Amino acid sequence: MGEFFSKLLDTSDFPARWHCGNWSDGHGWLHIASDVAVFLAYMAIPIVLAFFIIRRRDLPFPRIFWMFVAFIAFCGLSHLVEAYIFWNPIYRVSAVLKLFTAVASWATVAGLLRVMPRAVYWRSPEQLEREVEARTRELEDNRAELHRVNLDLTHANEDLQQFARFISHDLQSPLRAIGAFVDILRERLDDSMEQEDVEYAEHITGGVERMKALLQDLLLYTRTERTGRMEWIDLGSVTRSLVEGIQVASAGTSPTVEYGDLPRVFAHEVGIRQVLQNLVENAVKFSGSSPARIHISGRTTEEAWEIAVRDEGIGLDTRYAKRIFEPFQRLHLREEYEGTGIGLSIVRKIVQIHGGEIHVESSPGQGATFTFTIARPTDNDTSGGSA
Amino acid sequence: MKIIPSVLLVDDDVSDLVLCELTLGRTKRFPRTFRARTGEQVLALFTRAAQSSDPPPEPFPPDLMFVDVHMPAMTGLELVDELLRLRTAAIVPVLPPIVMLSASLDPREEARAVAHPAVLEYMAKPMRVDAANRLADRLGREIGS
Repeated sequence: MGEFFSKLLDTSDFPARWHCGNWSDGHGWLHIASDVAVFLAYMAIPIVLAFFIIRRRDLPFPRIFWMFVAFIAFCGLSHLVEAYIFWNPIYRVSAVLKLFTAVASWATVAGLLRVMPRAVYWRSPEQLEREVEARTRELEDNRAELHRVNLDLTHANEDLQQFARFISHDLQSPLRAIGAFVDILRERLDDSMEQEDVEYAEHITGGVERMKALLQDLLLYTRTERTGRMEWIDLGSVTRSLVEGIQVASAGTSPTVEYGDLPRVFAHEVGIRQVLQNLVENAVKFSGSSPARIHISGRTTEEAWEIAVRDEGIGLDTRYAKRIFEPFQRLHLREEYEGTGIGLSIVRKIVQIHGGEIHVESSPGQGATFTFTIARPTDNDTSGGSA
Repeated sequence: MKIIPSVLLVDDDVSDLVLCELTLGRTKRFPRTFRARTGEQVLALFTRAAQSSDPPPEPFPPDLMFVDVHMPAMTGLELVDELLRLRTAAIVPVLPPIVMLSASLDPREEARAVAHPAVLEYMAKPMRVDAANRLADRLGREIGS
């Protein structure tokens, strides 16, 4: 082996190809010219390829292309040496060159086999273009649909606003008339009214009052919607100011409200304050004979903040647990507990606006725990600066 | 003239109870009415009467029941469900005919009520005198005129 490399350029062991055998001029030059022509072509191809690879940075599988460059260039050089050997028999150089050509060729084969599965599914520019077109069409359809839904929503919202105006004015005025005229009648007929008549008149007045309260609360419910901006608020301080307000308002039989560490949440402050206030007022209202004891706690899960408002009041039958969040659903007779039954439905509406849910766990006489969630925003939702 | 001797009115709303009593009174064919305000009260009445060996106090059992569809907690239809369950389990020996009353304008509500096997019919509030008379003709007992 050492001898082979030390005599790499030594040609003394072989005759030049012209002197090996009986070449006619035509035959010999045909070999030489063809080998040189092949060499030139096999050098031109890698040069063009290399230029192409360098210019097209987005070319898929560039390493395979470089392998082609190497293997074609080696093939070209082999042909050149074949021609040169007619005068100078460098058979050892020729053998080494053929070895390099073989290695480069097989490396290319291996590389090809490796990328083949991916290459088979490689999408052509036409294919990509077709896909982009299809996607674009889809997007345009979606945009049209979005536009339509948006229009519908705008109309629905206008309807709702109109409905609210209708409640606050058109429905109130005949009601006021009924109430006022009944009062006038009662005054005018005061002496001549039988006991029964007085009772009937009271039914009318009571009905009018109830209707007023219902309309007012319906308005309240309708107007509970997505308004104001979402911001980071400290539930702890919201709760603190809420509790102080309650304790001022109910001096004497003041309820006890305890709360631990409450999280900072991303929400509508007015809405969340309303939720907590309604839940606390609800707990106070249904506290039973002893003053209300209320515990507010919060925890943070992966997707949401979870706030629980627990009381030790009269509780409720869980058969009706879902129903109490519907507007105007009550579980008690009017003379037992006042109110139209709107409070918890407003709570649920606000919670839903925050992407959350609410439920209650309870049993009669055992207090109740209302748990609601506020969906935690993704980074995109909160990073919108001051918007 | 046919009369219905004893009627149970079930409604959480006192004004509606008074109105109903007035209408029934004007026909002079429903001599005794008594009230319950919630479904729970009605169930208590029926089970107590069924469990007690003494004859139930007058005017129980009623010959007819009017039940408001919309009541707090247990609704009228839930009450009727419960009564039917008690009857099927033979805890209550017999159920009176039941007429559902409602002020709702939703036609689906009437459809749900009349589809119930224990419901005789559905009436819109306020009940009319001619509707009450028709009921007495249909269900009443003949007494000497």
